[in-house]
Amino acid sequence: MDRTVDASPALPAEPGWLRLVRAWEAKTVSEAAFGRLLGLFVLLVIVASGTGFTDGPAAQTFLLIFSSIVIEALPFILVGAIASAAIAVFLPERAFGSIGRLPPALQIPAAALGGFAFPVCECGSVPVARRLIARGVAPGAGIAFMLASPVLNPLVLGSTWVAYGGHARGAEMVAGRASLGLLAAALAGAVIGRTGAGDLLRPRASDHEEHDHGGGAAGRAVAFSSHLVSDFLFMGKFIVLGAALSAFVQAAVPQSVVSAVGGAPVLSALSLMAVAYVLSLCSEADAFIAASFTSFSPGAQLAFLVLGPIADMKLSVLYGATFRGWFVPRLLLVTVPLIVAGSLVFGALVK
Amino acid sequence: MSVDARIARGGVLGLWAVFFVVLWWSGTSDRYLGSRTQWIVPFGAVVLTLAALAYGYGYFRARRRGPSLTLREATSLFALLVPLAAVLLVPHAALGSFAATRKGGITFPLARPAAPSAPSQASFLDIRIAEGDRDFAAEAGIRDGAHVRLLGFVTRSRDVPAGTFELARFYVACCIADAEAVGVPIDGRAQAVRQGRFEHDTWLEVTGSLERRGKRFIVAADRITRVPTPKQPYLSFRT
Repeated sequence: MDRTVDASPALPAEPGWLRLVRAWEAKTVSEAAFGRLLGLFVLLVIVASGTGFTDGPAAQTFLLIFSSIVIEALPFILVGAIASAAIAVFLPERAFGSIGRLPPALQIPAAALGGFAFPVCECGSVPVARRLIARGVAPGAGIAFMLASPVLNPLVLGSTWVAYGGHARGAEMVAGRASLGLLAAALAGAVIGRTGAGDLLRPRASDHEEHDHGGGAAGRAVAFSSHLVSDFLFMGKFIVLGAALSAFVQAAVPQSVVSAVGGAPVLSALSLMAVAYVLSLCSEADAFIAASFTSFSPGAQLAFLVLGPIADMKLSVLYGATFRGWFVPRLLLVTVPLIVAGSLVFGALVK
Repeated sequence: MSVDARIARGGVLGLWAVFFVVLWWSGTSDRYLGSRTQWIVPFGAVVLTLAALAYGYGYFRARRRGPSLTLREATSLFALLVPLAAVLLVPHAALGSFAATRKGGITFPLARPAAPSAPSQASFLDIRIAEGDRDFAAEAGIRDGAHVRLLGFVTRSRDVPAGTFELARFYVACCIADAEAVGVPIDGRAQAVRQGRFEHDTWLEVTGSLERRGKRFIVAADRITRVPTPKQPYLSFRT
C-alpha cells in the first residue's frame, strides 16, 4: 500500500490559550448572547446583594473606595477625551506638522511647561498625550506634557499651597513640587521618548474604525462625538481596573504599616512613594494627605507629591493600555531615582 | 444577528450620564466625594449627557450600521458597568470601624485649620490638633474642663488610654479614597456600665468635658446617646 508523505513544512500549532484570546478579540456577539450576558450580570448583582456577600465591612470598604475613585476620575477622563477628540477633529494637520518639525530639545520643555495651561488630573492628560503623539508631536514632548500637566496645573499648585497653610512652607512646597515635577517630566520625556510613535503607542482597535471627518460642521460634530466616546470608553475601563486594584490594597493593608517607616531619608521617601502609588489619589487632593504625614520629612512628603501624579496604580493600568509594555517599568526607572534625589536635596534646603 | 457596537457604547455612556444625573438630583454624592469636589457631579452629569446626546445624534445621522460588537469590547463595556453595580450594592453604607483600622495611623496635625469659634464647637480634628499644638489649643479654647459635644462611631482602636474607647469620624478632602479616621478617646465607664458595651460602628452622641491624660485629650462623658447614622457620615477638612 502506497503511503503519501506530506513534504511541506508543518506549521507549529497555536497553543490553546492563544486561540481563545484570538477568538475573544475577534468573535462578534449576537443579540441573543448579549442578552444572556446582560442577564448574567444582573443575576450576579442580585445574588451578591441577596446573599449578604457585600454586607461585610471589608467588602463595603472595598466597594465604597472603588466606586468613589471611579466617580471622581471619570469626569476628568471625559475632559481628557473631549480635548483629545478636539485635537483629532478640529486642529489642522499642518499645525502638528510644524510642531513636529521643531527639535525635540525645544518641544519637550515647551510641552512640559504647557501643563500650566491644562487644569485636569492625571487621568485626563493621558488621552490628550496619546492623541498629540499620534498626530506627529515628538513622543518625548507628548510624554513630558502628560507627566507635567497634573503636577504643574494651577489648581494643583493652589491646593498644595492651601494644604501646607500658605506662607513660607506653602511656597516652599509649591516651588519644590513644580520644579521637581517639571524636571521629572522633562527627563522622562527625553529618555523614554527617543523612540518613534509606533514603537511607543499600543495600537487600538478603534484606531482602524472609520471616523467621518467630512461633511462640514455637522460631519465634524459627528466625528468629534465618535472620537470622544471611543476615548472615554477605552480609558474608562482601565480606570475601573486601576480603581479596583487600589481599593483592594487600601481595604487589605493598613496604612500604618507603611507610615511606620519614617526614619531614614531615602527609605522614608521610598515608603511615601509606595503609599502614593497605592492610594492613586487625585493630584488636586493629594497635598492634604501629604501634609498629614508629619512623622516624615518635607523631602519625603515632596516625593509623595511628585510621584503620585506621575505613576500610581490606576495610571499604570492606563499607561499599560495606551503605551507598550515597557513604558511603565522604564518610567519608574527614570523618575524614581530622580525624585528620591530631588527630595533629598529639598530636605537639605528646607527644614 | 450581531449587536451594533455603537448602540452598546451609546447605552453605556447613557447609563453613566443617568447615574450622574441621579447622583446630582438625589444629593447623595457626598457619600463618595468631599466638599471640594462636589462640583464634579453636576459637571459630569451635564457633560456626560451632552456627550451621550451628541453620540446618539451622530448615530442617527450616519444612517448606517456601526461595526459589530466583539466579545472583547463587550467585556470592556460590562467592566464599565461594575462601578454602577457597586453603588447599587452598598447604597447606604459608610466607612466605619474596619476602614478606620486601615485608614488611620497618620500622625497629626494635618494642615492647620481655622480654630473653632467656641470650645463647644470643637471637632475631632480640632481636639487632635490641640494635643500637639499649644498655640492652636489656646486659640480654640481647648483645655482641661472645656465642654464638648461629639458625634461619631465607635472604632476598634486599642491605642487609647486605659478605661476609654475611641469615637471617630472620617475626614474627606476629595473622595473617600483619601478619607482619614480621626478619633478621640471617650471615658464613658459609668454610661457603658448602665447601657452595656458599645459595639463597633455604633453611632453615639457624646457630651462631656475634656481631660488631659498623657499626650491625649479624652472626653469624660456625662451623657452618651445612641443615634442613627447621620445623613452625612463624613466631615471635611476646614482649610
